[in-house]
Amino acid sequence: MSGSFFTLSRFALVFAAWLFGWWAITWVLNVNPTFLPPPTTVFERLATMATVSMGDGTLIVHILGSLKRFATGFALAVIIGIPLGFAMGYFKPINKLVTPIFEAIRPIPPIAWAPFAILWFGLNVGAQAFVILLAAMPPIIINAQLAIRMTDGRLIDAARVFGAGPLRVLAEVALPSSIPLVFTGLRIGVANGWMALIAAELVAGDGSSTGLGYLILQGQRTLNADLSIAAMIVIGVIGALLDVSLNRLNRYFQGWTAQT
Amino acid sequence: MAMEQDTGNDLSFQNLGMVYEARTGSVAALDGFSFDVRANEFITIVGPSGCGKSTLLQVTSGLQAPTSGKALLNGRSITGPSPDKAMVFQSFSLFPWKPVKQNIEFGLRVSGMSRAERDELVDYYIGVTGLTGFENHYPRQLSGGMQQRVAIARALAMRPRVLLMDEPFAALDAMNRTLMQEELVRIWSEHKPTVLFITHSVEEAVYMADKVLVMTKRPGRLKCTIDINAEIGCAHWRTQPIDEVLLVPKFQELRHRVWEEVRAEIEVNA
Ligand SMILES: Nc1ncnc2c1ncn2[C@@H]1O[C@H](COP(=O)(O)OP(=O)(O)O)[C@@H](O)[C@H]1O
Ligand SMILES: [Mg+2]
Repeated sequence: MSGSFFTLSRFALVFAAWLFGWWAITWVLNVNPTFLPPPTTVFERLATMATVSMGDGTLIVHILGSLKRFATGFALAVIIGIPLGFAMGYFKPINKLVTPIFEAIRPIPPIAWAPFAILWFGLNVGAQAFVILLAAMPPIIINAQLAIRMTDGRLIDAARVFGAGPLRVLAEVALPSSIPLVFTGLRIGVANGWMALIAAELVAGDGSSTGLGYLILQGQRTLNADLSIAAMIVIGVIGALLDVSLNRLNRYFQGWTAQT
Repeated sequence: MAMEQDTGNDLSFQNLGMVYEARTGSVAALDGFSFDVRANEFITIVGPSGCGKSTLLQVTSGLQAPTSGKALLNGRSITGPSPDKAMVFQSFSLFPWKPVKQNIEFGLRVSGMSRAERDELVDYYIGVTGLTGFENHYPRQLSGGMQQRVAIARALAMRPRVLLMDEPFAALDAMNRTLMQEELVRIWSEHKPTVLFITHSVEEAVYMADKVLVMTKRPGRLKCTIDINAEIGCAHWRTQPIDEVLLVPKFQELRHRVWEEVRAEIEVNA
């Protein structure tokens, strides 16, 4: 406990030192705040964002707007990706059928699809969700597939000896043992998807004036660099929170599957 | 019942052969293995590492088909797993995400038995294997010895005609191992399924068996059979504690004989 306390306080200390460095640079060099505002201005901005409306609303409106787009794309990635990965891992013909197209698409950066996404879905949440889907799904598919392939052969044998057929082996052996790796895929997927969301908001705005990406753009357009930086900080914090909550969920499931 | 009269044998291995095709070439694991097992016999099998012992059990369980020869149960060719053959694995192979009780009832549930019947059987074997109070524990919360009890209970709950055990106690420490050997004999004597028991321990083999089979080095064949019952001539020593049996001259003599047979096979390799 004391170990983690010291690690944490050292981390805070180093972090504070960097903040001080940032502040010192802006102060000593007298940097123009439209170029790089001091951290104090950014923190003031963070404090006022919660109550002062920008574009379509206060900070919470923008956060919820971004989360809605993210959730739409990510949910689709999970709904399609996990079953597809499982199927690819368990049924060789499906794997052979899907892998070539999957491998062909995977190296293309998701944001490169933005113009197509707008063409197909119009300037709305669909286009952004599509980009997020493309970013989040590959790691989800790969890990789900790997999880099934890595199922302990000895457990499969045990299930078969006691009469289990292929579907029962899938449901009662392969699926439960896949949970840790599936979560690994989900965590990478969340990180990819969240990054892609901001990119999508920057290049494929849905016409509304909401979203954390919108706030960054707004800061640029109005020469309020502090707004852009504040929005970036919120993006980072939410990204980290998403990862932490998924990790919590993972631990809960692992406790449930007695892997601890 | 009519079937049983066909051979008088429970299990019959006829010229069994198994060749594995691997990327590195083909490996003959078994070649011309023949033996007949009578109902209720406790057979232990010893032989050098890699001589095909596990393969023999895989074929008997129906997990793998032999590449030549036949394995018969009750006069019928073994074509796949069935509820009358149960297996206890060296690595226990319990489902980590299922509590003890669900692990034990797995085979019964698969076979479509009603919950009430299942509960009755599972409770009985939980008692027999000394797992009372651990029904809701997960395998990882148990010691190796306790985990193997779960695996044994899972197999016994099927009330199998044939119980296959592949080095079931190899992963246990010496003390647990001795306890489990004595307990297995006690549990086995209640219903006396036919047992094929693989072990690396000559002592274990001679203590528990009606017959000890010694296999040749790979590709495995039957080298010789030592009929422990016939050698003893009176009541089998497996009902007595192992530390006492270890002092019996006849036991020492048979242990020596089996060991010499196995050693000859290992030294041919060297
Ligand atoms: N699935 C498999 N594929 C290829 N070779 C195998 C396979 N299973 C076993 N073997 C080989 O067959 C031989 C016998 O193996 P096994 O039956 O496990 O022996 P034992 O249990 O007596 O140690 C070994 O050489 C082993 O490497
Ligand atoms: Mg083996």
